[in-house]
Amino acid sequence: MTSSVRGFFFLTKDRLMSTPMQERQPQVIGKASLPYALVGPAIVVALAIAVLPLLYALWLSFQDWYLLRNPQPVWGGLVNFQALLTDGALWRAFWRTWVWTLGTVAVEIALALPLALLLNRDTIVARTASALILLPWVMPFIVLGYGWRFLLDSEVGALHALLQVVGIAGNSSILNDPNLALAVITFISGWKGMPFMVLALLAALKSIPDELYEAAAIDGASAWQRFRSITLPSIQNTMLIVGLVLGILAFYSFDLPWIMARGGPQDATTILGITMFKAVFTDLRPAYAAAISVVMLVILAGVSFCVLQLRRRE
Amino acid sequence: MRRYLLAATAIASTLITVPAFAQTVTFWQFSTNPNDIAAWEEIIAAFEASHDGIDVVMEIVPWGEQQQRLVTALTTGGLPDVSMLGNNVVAQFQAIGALAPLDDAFAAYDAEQGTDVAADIWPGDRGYYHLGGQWWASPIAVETRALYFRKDLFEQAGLDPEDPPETWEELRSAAKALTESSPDGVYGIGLSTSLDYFTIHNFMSTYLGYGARMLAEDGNCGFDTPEFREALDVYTGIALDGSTHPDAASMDGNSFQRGFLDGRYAMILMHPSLYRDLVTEQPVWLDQVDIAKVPAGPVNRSGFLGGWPLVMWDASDAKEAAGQFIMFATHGEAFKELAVAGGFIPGSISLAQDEPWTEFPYPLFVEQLQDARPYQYPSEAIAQMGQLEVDTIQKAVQAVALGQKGIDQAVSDLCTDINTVLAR
Repeated sequence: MTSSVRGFFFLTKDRLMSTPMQERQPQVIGKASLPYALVGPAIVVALAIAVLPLLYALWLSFQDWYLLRNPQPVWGGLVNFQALLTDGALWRAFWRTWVWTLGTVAVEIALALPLALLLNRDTIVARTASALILLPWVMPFIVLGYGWRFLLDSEVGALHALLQVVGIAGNSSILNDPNLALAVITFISGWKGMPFMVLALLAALKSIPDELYEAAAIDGASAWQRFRSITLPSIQNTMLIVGLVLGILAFYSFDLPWIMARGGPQDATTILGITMFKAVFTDLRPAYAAAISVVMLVILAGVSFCVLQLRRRE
Repeated sequence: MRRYLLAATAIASTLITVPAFAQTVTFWQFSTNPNDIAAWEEIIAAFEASHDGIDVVMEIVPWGEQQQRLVTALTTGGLPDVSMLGNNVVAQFQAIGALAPLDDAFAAYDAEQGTDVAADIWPGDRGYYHLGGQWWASPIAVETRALYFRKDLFEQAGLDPEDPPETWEELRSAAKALTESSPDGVYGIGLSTSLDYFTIHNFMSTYLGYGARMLAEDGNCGFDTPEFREALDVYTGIALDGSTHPDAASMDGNSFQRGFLDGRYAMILMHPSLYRDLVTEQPVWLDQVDIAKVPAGPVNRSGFLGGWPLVMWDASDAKEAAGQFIMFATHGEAFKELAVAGGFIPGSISLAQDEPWTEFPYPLFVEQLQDARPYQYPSEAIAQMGQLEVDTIQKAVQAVALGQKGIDQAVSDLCTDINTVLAR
């Protein structure tokens, strides 16, 4: 601390301690407004990039805006929400999105948990693998999508050949199979999100005191009992919260099923993100797409609330 | 005082040297091919040199992104003055009121050049661009597909290379024979059944050839007929016979084109620029390639009618300059150079009847254009075509080709989907 700064600090401190309340008033107001001044820019940015678009989407969802009929939006009230209720294809996409979301999170947990347990050991393999494990997470969707398409190609794909040997794939790529396409793309989605879960679980595993395991070992607990009674309860909160975050990301997905299958074959991989995209750019119904997004938001907010309540109760 | 005089002189001289009506025309160009871009840059340079005070700023918007960019710009602002457009969606944007008519630009060009540009437009294109008694687009290219086939593979399969398939039934039989006689990984024909434009580009020739029509007299779906069922049966039968790539249900046109260049298919229905690519790549079997007209159906022979024009957006505040640029870029010598570089048939009939379109393989394509028809033939262009071609017809083809639906179910669902879109 320089002498001038130190002098200012003591001067201020002396003044605060010795001057009457009236004299200190401007200082107190300044001090009180400082947090607001610091938070202000962040709030402005948050408003600009999150709240305003949200309000716009909400406003848009109540407009009647099918470009071929109304070149400009006109007030439509609940017209989009009524259309949404009777849109069979949309509801099929809605349930498909839940399968996709829950499947993605399940794959993430199923792959991440054993990997995190493995990486929690202090070995050279674990240290090397810690860096490599991030690869799927940092890989752009476009590279990953085309890479997997290549692997699943019916003529040159190594994975296709393997699937053909075990009898899962026929002559054609499984991306052409309406039943298997969603399953395989869901798996790839989970594989991509897995590193994030691994890192979170690894951090949670590191925070478990060794003494707990030592005490359990002295009591004669088996490895499985130690995992079930110590490890799992210690990481389940992390798993739940990270699973929720990754689930929300999956629910809003668009890239992977679009790049790999354009939502097909037929509508087999058409999830809500693709339905919204088509509503705007193919069907020219931006207000309808906004209504879908509002419903998605409400559902996700409700599910998130329930999951967090569940966590608190536990 | 002297200083003020000098400053005034400088300002005056600046005002004199800057044209009084300097305008900028923004132009979205969709081709990413370097040769095309270079040709467009030359056209723009020539236009700017001959039209003092007008600057043209070209932005490359790839074909795959143009619909997203245009719809986004339409709803949030930022449309260009001029852009390319697919011929099938001109009616869509015209119905929205987003395009500006080009009649004044046509008239001004005709008065200046002594031409009749409207009379020089292909009859099929007229159906796409002349809507409600006005012209909304000036064609750059017109496109149709013909049957490329390998004579050596025909001979190998015991087929007469001088007698290519004349009908869709013959095409199906030939494709099967060619697949069976070819080594593994070589198929009779590159024909897609995916949700890619390549599917509708081929399949429309089938259903029109069988006499089916997309829209009935009452304006609703017209596909629920025996003619359409037969067309769907013969087209998807080629895939179900195993006569095309096993992944045809998820492959796009570029992959099939690449496959033909790599010798993977004995036949393919493709545009004239494939021949340019063949000549560039010089495969050893190049002299074995021949081209025939698209197969006919029991009713007629209908070629695909593709193409892309230039349009002027109504939001433009430089309409006169934009109109001048459109007419300059779609007519005359500079345009001819663009068409030659791009390997496409020009949208101007008189130009297409001149060299180099009198040399192989163009005359067959030019002849084929006489039989080229829009998807909705014989009905007029409809605004919903962009939605219908992507998400309804191709989906029906894919469903049958994958064995997910029978012909009747696919046709019934197709008409339900088409009528839903038309009723919005």
